Amino acid sequence: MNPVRALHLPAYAGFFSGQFRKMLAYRTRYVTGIISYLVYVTTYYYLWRAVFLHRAPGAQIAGFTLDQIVTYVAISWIARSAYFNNVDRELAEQVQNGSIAVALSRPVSLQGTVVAGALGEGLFRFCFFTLPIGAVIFLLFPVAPPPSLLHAIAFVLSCALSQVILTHVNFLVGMCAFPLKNIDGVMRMKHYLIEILSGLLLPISLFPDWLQALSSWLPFQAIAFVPSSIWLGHARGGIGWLGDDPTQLIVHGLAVQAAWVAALALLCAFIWRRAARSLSVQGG
Amino acid sequence: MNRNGCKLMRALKIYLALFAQMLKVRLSYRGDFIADLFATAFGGLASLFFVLLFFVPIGDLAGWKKDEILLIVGLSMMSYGLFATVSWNLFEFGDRYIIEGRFDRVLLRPISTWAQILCDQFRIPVLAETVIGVGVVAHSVTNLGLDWSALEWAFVALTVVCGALLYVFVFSILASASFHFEDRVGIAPPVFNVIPFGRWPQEIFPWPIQALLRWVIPFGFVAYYPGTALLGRTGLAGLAIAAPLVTLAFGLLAAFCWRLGVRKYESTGS
Amino acid sequence: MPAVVVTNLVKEFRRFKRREGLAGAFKDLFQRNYQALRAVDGVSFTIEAGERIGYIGPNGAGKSTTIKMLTGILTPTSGEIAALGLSPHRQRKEYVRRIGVVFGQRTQLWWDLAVIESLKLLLQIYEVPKAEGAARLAKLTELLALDEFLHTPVRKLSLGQRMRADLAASLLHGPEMLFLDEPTIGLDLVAKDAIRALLKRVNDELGTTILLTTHDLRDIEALAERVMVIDGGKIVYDGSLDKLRDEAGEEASAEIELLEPASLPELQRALPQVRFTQENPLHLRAVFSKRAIPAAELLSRLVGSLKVADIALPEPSIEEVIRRIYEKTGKSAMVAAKTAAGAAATSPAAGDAPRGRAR
Repeated sequence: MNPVRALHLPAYAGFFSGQFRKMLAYRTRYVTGIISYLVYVTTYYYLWRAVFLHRAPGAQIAGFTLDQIVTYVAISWIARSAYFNNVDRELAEQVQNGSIAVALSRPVSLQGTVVAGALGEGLFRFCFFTLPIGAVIFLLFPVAPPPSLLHAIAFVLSCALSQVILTHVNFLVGMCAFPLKNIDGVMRMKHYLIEILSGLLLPISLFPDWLQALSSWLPFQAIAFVPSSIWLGHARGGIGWLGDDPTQLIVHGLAVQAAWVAALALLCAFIWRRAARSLSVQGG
Repeated sequence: MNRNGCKLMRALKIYLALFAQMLKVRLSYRGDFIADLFATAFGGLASLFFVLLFFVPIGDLAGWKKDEILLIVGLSMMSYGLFATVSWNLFEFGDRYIIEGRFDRVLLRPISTWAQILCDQFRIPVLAETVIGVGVVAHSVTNLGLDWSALEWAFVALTVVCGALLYVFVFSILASASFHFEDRVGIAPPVFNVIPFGRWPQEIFPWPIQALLRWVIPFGFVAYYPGTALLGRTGLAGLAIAAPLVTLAFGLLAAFCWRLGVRKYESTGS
Repeated sequence: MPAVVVTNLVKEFRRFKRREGLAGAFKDLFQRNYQALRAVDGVSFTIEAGERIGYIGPNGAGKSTTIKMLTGILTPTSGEIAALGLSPHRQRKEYVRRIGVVFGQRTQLWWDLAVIESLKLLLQIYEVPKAEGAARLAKLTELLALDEFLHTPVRKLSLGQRMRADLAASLLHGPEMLFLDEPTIGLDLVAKDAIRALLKRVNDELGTTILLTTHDLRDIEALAERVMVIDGGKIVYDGSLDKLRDEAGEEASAEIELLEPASLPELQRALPQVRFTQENPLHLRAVFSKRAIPAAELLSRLVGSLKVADIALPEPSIEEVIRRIYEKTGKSAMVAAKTAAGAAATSPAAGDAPRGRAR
């Protein structure tokens, strides 16, 4: 049997080409999106340079050298360009205009559809968004490569898991549209929470102890801190659950992510089932 | 009163009536109002929290103490909160008014189109950011043991108003680009993302970025240069005096761009 | 002095032309292809104060673009408009104070405000003196029966109610001219009649100049003394409705119901100046020129030679009339066909179709 046929590659190619053309139609958004990521990385790059300016060469802050923290910041933003999605907004719109009821009549689960869609979009974003952003950032800033090929592979896998975790978090936020009419406020709060607690702006190792402890009980650190730490090959600062051994880090990191995927998937399934029940009672 | 004065008063009365009605509409969506309030307060505290977190491991930043940075952050937050009351329509201008065609209606009213856009969708809850900013500034002034007279506080007020206007003008210029290029999001997002640049000491950036933030996207004038002067730091403090002038210049530029855009306006076709 | 003088008005739009295929889309990313589109192409006309004018033409002919230039929304590419002695786009604020505008497709009111609040706000914006404003508001409330929804937010109004509210809004400041773009689109018959009656009254009593575009030819029949027809950005007819009808009315048709089948070739031989078509054995259609044979003579001869159950002489519809104008001005039959189809597609209710439409 033709393996290409079996994988339905032409169908995917069609999807990609369609997505690509959609993106080209919004070319301003595409270009400004890339610029925005550059702006973020540039700001934090110079901030950290200033922090290390009056310190001895090779000095460390909470276990990070300048090179490491620059790599961390750059990689975190590059990864974000791939896993980011608007599942919450899209779901809320479906709830608001009532089209969510259609999901009940489909033979596949809404959650599965949403996650698969987000992964597809993530792959697309990776090709057309992350790669150019990454290329420019690698050219402009001293970003260190991962310690081994294994780490590179684990990093990609970890980003995919980040995508699944974020999708579930966004799914939960989107479900807020059932009790609330407008979830703009909730979405904004989630945005700030994730920016800080995921370790996107600042590695969690640099947090004070109490916040590190709190973060370890929340799913957000599994979105940014875990993949970036895997790329770096270390998660200094004594976060017990990741460890400092480069290989152990991979296992622990992916395990933490997988655990959160399972927990969030269950929670989403539970909440969706309740929402669906009320939907079928009220008739949408 | 001379005729011009009369005209100005009359115009002001109209805008006030328009503004009051739009405000009433926004207040009637009580849930949105409360959510906006919470989210804004949360966002303001989050960005503050980030600065505090950032300083925990590093102590000081290129010779700037934490409270000195906080003063600048606080000033910038005060300006930003004022600007955010009118920012929605500027960010969504291309989408709401040009693509969805609401601008026709705006043109049919015998008052300024720009003022109409700014009055529509006025948000009160975002002033929470200004309130937080006031707290931050007061806190850092106390912590730094600064003994300010009424003059300094008046300068703070002027700085905050000029900063807010500067944001309004810059984003008006960007919004007016929607007259020429039809696009739902426009070119504002990356400029919006530049705002935090203006909250940090400018000297940590290489000269092209400094120049950019001084003359092209002049967010350095919102809080940094005035803040430097207020803190009595040497160096670029002199530029503080230029802040109102830069604001005025960008105001004129914004008015010019807006007029140019309106003349170019093509409606939604057919 | 005429109310409006339009000289050589031109409006060109620049339209982004997408390239085909993926490679084309990629090219578009870097370099865009623009195409100039002349929506209005050298239009000239004069409007006297107090006229009621119907402005018609197929979709995309340039009607709305003309109205938008006349109301100061769009800046002309070239040409001149002098309306009420002003230049609409250059003296916008001064000008719009003296005109009223209604767009059938979208409201000029504030979505979230109650009708009464919207109207009161407009009184303030237009700086209408208090007493005058109150009197006009009361009058319009009565005329348009606004009472029932005065305190309802505009977003909750039905289409007919919304249009009445919009009409009130456009008249609140006592405009000298009223521009209406598809004011009756999507309305039911009762609402349409109410709006036509009001417009007529406003014109009769206040002398307000009215220019309206429409796809409903009954609007024109009920309101317009003068008709301007635009196609491809050019005015192809400008004159009275009667003359338009006369010009095209030379050709008439008759629908004949028979009791017994008749022989078509025989009939055709007896009346060679008439063109007969047969829809079914008992239903004939006769198309004839009134000059070649007066209708009365045709009728008497038909009744004399056939067993007639019923004869109808439908008036030519304006659609038909416009189609003939296109034919006269040498437009292709395709344009004409498109016009008819466009008009048919946009006439909303089947029961509201103009009489005698070709089946």
